[in-house]
Amino acid sequence: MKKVLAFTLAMSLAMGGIAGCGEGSSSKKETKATAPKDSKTTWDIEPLDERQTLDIAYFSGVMHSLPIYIADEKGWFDELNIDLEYSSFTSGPAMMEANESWDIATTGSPGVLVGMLGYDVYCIGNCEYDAVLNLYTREDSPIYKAGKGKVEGAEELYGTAEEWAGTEWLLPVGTTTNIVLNSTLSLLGLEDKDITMVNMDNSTGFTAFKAGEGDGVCLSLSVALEAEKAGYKKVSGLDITGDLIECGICATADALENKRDAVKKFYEVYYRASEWIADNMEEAEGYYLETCEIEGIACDEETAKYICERRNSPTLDDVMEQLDTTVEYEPYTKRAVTKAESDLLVTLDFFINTGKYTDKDREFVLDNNMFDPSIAQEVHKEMTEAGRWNY
Amino acid sequence: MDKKTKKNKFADGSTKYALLSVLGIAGFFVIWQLLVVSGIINSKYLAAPTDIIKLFFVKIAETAPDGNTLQVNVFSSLRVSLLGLFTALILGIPLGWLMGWYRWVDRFVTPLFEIIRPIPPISWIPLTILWLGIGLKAQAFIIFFSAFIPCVINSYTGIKQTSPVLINVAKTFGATNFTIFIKVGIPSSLPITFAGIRVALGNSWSTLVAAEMLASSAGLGYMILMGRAFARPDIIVLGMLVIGVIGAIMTALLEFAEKKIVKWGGRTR
Repeated sequence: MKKVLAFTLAMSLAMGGIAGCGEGSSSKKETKATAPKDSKTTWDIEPLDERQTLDIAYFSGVMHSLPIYIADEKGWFDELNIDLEYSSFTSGPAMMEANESWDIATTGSPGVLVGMLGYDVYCIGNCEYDAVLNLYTREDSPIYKAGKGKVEGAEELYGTAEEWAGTEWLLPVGTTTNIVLNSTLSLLGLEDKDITMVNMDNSTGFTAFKAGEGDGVCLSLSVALEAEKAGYKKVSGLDITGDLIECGICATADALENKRDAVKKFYEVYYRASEWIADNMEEAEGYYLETCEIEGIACDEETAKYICERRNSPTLDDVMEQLDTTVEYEPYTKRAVTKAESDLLVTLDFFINTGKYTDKDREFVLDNNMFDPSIAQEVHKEMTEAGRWNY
Repeated sequence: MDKKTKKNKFADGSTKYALLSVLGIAGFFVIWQLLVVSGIINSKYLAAPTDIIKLFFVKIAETAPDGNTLQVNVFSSLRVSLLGLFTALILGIPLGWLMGWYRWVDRFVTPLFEIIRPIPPISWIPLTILWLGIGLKAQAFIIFFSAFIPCVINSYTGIKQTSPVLINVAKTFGATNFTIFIKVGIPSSLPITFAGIRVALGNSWSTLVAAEMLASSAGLGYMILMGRAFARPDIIVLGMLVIGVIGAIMTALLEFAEKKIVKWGGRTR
């Protein structure tokens, strides 16, 4: 009898635990109504026939994610019968690793390359050029004390090769800040083996720097501005090196095949939202601040304004022009390379020169057309036929 | 070796079991190779064992993509891991013995220990940066935490299980409590203490990747992180395998040491 009672209690506990883990039977997932095909939408885009969900890999705290958030908040996806499910990331490579869990992502070019080379992820458009990537030292640093203007062509760059050689820098290795640091070293006539790079992400690196570690730190966006407010000195940056670092919209092979219509509508809305930001900067700053708060990124109104003002995003017209324009590209001659591809290849070439990737990787990207222009071209065609191409 | 010895050697099964171990490992690699070669597993997501072996030899000379050769990474990781492990052994084992033998130490330390014990080593990373900065000390501190707990627990348990008969015999011969602790308790606890050291060794080695996420410019964990950053699953697998093989070698060395030391301690039983 005791054994029966004990067994019954154990089973009840187990069943209770399993039931508790699942959704409550009383709660129902809200099902949104499907908008009719002929309903009026903000950008005159025809809704999908049936409601569809797009899984979004959302890069926290960056400008190239902002159009997605704004468009979603304003209901521009909902009116097209598109629901968005978000997964947040703070790293491009990690985002690409998790590609099974999303359909569309926006990320910096290092992340785009990881996706193309490792995970059958295609870049379907250029969505932004990076800004606010800076290098900071302490006020008593020999680099800062040496003053600026010692390097020809980079008057805002502080120090000379002598002060920079042998220093230790905290940064996320293999990301866009790595590109800026290496470009700075090139301007000084140095190589990356002349300094020590310690791999740390943005926030952790800044924490360590504040604790006295490293001679300098490479930071981006709101964390970079936090460093300036804390009194650290900017000694170099993207605006000084002049690097062109592209950010791309990516889609998985599965999404391109099975959710193509939804991807195309997302694409058009994304660029519409991006253009809306340019015309409504003050309101966009508020949305940027909102996303930072949601994602736990330190930001205030001043920082949001600073970052939004430095936004450098192409319009859909710019994207089409990039896809239609070919450029000379010596390392690859099997076919013509478009301007859009060459902007991405700037990053790949940097990584090849620093030994992270090889020429074979470049061949793979271009041989397999990992920069896929077809979505942009189809959207352009649909917009033109519907009379929506108003550039 | 005469026929009788050869027969005995086979009869006791040692050769047979050794062969089984080799077959087990070989079988695992053969299945892995077949899965990748046949396309069941995409080679982009998991490199074949033959590719990993080739990469092993390439990485001895090549520094891409992490900027270090394999041996530099191995040395860096061993340095971090062994520093953390030995610190844990030196502090943890005596503490466990003292807690297990002296009730006042047990009562004093155990409540704090039980609070610290469930905290995952990687959650110490933010505070470690503030206290110890970055570099060898900070990384070794993370390793220390993962190895410290099993050292304390096992040495505590081992000495607690000292046979009362042995203690009473020692008392009969007029030994003081401290003498019994040193000459009876500690030797008696060694088998379980060594089991704890084995666990600590495994923990310290497996925490390596987390420790090197703290801040690093070399090491097997760093190499794995760079493999991840540059879409190189082959580098990731190589790093994991090297960690596994070195861990196995260290465990074998520990077992050899245990046979020598515990054999000596076992004479008191």
